[in-house]
Amino acid sequence: MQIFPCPFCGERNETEFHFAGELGKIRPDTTADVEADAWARYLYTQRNEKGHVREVWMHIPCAELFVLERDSVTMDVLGSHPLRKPPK
Amino acid sequence: MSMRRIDNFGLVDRAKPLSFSFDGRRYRGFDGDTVASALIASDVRILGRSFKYHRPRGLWSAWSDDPNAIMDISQNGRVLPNCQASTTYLEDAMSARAVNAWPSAARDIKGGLDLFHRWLGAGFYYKTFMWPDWHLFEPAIRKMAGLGSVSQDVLSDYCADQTFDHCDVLVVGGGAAGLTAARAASEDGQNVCLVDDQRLPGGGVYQMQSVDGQDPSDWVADQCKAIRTAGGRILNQTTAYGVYDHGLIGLMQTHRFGVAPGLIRMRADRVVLATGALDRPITFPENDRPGIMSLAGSAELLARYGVLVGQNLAVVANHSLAETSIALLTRAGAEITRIDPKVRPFKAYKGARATGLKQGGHARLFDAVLTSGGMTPVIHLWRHMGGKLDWCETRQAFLPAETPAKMIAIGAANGTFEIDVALEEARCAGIGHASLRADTRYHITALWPEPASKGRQWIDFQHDVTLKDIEIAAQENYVSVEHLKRYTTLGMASDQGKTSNMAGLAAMAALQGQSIPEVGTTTFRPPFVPVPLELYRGPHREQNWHPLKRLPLENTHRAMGAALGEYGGWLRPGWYGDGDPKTQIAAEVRAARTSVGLFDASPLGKIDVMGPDAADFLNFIYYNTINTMTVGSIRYGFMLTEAGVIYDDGVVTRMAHNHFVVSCSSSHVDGVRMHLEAWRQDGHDPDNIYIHDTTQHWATATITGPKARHVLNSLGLDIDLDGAVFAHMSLRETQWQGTHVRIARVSFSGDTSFEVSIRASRAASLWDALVRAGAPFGLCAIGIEAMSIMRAEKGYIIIGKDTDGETMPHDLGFAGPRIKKTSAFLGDRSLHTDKANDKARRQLVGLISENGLLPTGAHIVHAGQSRGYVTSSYDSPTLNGPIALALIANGHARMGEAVEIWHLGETQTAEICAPCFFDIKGEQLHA
Amino acid sequence: MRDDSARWNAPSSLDYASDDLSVIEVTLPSQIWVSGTDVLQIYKDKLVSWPDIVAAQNYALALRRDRLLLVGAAQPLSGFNIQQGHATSDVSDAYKVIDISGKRAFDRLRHGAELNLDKPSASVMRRAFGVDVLLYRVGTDARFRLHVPRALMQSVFQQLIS
Ligand SMILES: [Zn+2]
Repeated sequence: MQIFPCPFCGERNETEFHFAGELGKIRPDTTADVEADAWARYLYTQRNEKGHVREVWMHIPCAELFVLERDSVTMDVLGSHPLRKPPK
Repeated sequence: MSMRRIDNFGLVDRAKPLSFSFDGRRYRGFDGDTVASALIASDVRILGRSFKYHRPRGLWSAWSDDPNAIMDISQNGRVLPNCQASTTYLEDAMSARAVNAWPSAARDIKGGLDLFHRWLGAGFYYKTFMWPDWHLFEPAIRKMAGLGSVSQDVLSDYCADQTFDHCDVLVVGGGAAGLTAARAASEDGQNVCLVDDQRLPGGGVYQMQSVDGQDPSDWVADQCKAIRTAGGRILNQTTAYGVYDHGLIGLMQTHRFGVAPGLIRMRADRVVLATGALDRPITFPENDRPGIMSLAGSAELLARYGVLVGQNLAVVANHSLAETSIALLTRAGAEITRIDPKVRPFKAYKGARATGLKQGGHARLFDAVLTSGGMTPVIHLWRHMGGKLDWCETRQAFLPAETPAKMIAIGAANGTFEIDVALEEARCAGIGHASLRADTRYHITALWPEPASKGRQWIDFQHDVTLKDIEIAAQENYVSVEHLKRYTTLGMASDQGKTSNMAGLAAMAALQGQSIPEVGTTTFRPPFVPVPLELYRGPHREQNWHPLKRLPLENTHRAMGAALGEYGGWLRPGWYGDGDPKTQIAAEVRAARTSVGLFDASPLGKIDVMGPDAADFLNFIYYNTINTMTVGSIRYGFMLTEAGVIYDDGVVTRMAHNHFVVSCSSSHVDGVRMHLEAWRQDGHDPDNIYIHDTTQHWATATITGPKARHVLNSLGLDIDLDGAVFAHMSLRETQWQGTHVRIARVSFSGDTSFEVSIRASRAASLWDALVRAGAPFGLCAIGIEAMSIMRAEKGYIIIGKDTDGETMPHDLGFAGPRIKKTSAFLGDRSLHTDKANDKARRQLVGLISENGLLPTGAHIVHAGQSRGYVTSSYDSPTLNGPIALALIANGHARMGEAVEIWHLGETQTAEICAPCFFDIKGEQLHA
Repeated sequence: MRDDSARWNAPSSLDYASDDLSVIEVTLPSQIWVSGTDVLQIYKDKLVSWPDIVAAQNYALALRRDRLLLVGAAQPLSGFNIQQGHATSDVSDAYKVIDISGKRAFDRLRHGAELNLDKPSASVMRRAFGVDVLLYRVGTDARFRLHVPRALMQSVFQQLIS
């Protein structure tokens, strides 16, 4: 069982977390024309990298959506920070 | 009592004799014995049979590295299969039976299989049963395969306790090194946990004459006392069987026979590995004969159990540590004959109740032949943790290389075989200092299998893998050790290669002309010892396996005779009453259609979405337009995935300008909450949107039917219920007996309905009041089965039943927003792909059939292909006939067409109609 | 369509007592969620996180970076207050609450979650026995208070006392 750091709660057991997606997917502006290819890429293309990955996870109890950096080979956690902008 | 038991040796309690049986014969042993030690003490030579050839097997070793003595054991009606006799502590009235042998290990009728060994080599099954079809042979082969047999009895109280724990320092192994490290660490003020897999810690120290100048037993007791005094914990009979992600260590704590072991998920800041080393076999012809066993194992039998395996013993060893064992055996009165393993050829042969050895023309019989091909450090957990190994030419063994984070190996596990050096190394490790590996006084002559030599030479005793099989594998190019393992099943027996791996990979190295480190090891995987599956199940059983959500009104429903069942993760009334369910359900539908029904709708989602951006946010989340809703109004809508597929349906209420309530499907609340949170924080301003899932604060009673308004009127609420004022799809808030209630005029039944929501702790009062108020109008409590029929009569869908993973809103006839909505919303672009525009999309329609009920799931077929399927089908009490909903290709354009329905080989016809059978004009809904 | 009534024990009271474990149901006057960017700051004097010990009757449980649960406060109207920028929902009945004490209390809790009193957390929310709960201490260092979503309290309670 891995230990992930929630940027708010701190370290918790992996059973409290949910993978939300790879970081860096930008939703196309659908009020303008979006090519089918671009939309398909947005929906289905994953980088699925080996090594250092940046992913979006949710800490389910506190619902924090955050960026988790980890090594997909060694499973080491390399860092975590909130997805949201810094507080005003 | 037994000629094999030696006075003044061993830790067993001779004041506590125990009686047991093996393969039907009675034996005696002592408290503290294992089943194996008691059998050896009783001079039993054959304890099992090998897996493939059914060769007789004696005990190889005294603890978890023994691959041979596997037994089904029962006691007091509790039967456990495949127990290791060498690690199962003897208890009175145990009955053991060797696995894979009948009628007994000594006289196994399949022993003749060995005669066919020439044809049963590596890959035999793969090569032989390919033609014409493996499946022809599979049943017979499966019947022959496997070891013990599982009892049909359910041990209902056999339940593993599972818990989490943590400590500063976990010391694995309670031998001399482990005890010393644990003492040093706990006296240094650290929170220490020492685990040892035996009943008494001490590891191999009992084989020594003294430790640190003390009697071994006294020394062990002193260390344990010091550890406990300093606040450390010692867990006996506890095996660290695996290291998992981020250093989580699985500990299995075993108890009395028949009691499920406990699982401790341990986190430690540091792990000190003091797991010792195992003696490895020597590969020579007929080396699997009963009576040939490990030298270290025989010493342990003597030291722990007071059992001397024989008087007249041969020792075949190639290293300096053998001297300690020989000294011990000699002290117990054994006569030792040393055989030099380098003088080849030598081979074993079968003698009557003895083991023969032939070397250089001489043949001699021994009570037992004790072999030792060198010590292999137990580095399984080291490898689980990701630690690297170095090949040590001096020790002829793999040793822990540079230390991985958080783990340090000491003592024999680290190749430190000298007790004085090991104790110093352990003291350093205890206080967190790594010490450099010292030069060793241990010396060993390299001794590995010699390919192309004559005779049947066993590598894996349990699975019958011989040197010849490894040669075949090499010939057929299975040269990677991982392929070798799977092709020959080398190391795949229940001991997972503890005895066989080193010899196997050394043989492959020799065949390839490579060095042992070049060939490398196979992957070490947990568990280190076999663990019962129960360890992983634990309390996740019965009502705790998938706990259902429970209604605030459950006890009220039970008192009303509800039949409770799982619906979308909740335990809900399916119907009420003891009669035939179909009759009861039909009666509930009729009552609700003709007078009034009362339905517990509490699980319906109630998610507050609040804040300045709430309206625009929901406008993005929903397919439908939300930001134009007026305060107090309710709108039905869909949430889509980005793929345009319907994820959820339900109603949204605008409570205030900045406050909405999302009423998602009962089964979907947790998912919808997360879905909303994810989009709130990713792509929107979370400081202007707040999502509060208040579902479980509320209970909801739905009153539905022509008399619904009358019932609600009798509650004396302070609101005008007139249909013209309080219209369908609107909300009122008021007080009932001093408690705030929300009344939503929405309908899932298709009749006039009111959903009354109140805080859960007041639910029973409200429910009782409604039952009383409804009595004069013939009110009937209805379950979810009746509600499902009524909504189908009206053509209202259930997500996931009448929709599937491809259904888009326009497939259900909700095409407006797809065409008209200009602002962005989830899934919008996906509604305009080629696939979304396909004419052959499956669309929701109704079906009427002349020939009775259509089976749910039946396919609509055309030209031998499925064009859709029946999603919902009921005998409608309202229409007095069958009704069905279906998803059919291009269904909307095919009204009135006859279609062919196929189900389990039978076909019938039905006619496509609009998906609404009740109140088509909506007069009752809006009344 | 199946009658499973007998497969599920009818909900029982949430009280249990043995020599080394005691569980009692607690009725709190109110539980109210308040969300907003500044709520943790505003209620910082009453804020409770892990492994704090609550002494007062009125307190604020830190849940998220922008949400807390007010315990024992007067009940304001649910909804969004535009001046404060606070969203409020009455969830007094959404959680059932029990107090767990006795020698085995912490051990029993550790059967359901990886707990560590030496590891502080900004939030009292965590997953225990498979359920998202609120956990903290009240009165003494060995008395634990657990808020469990109402619909799953039976399951958590049964696992706790088994
Ligand atoms: Zn968190």
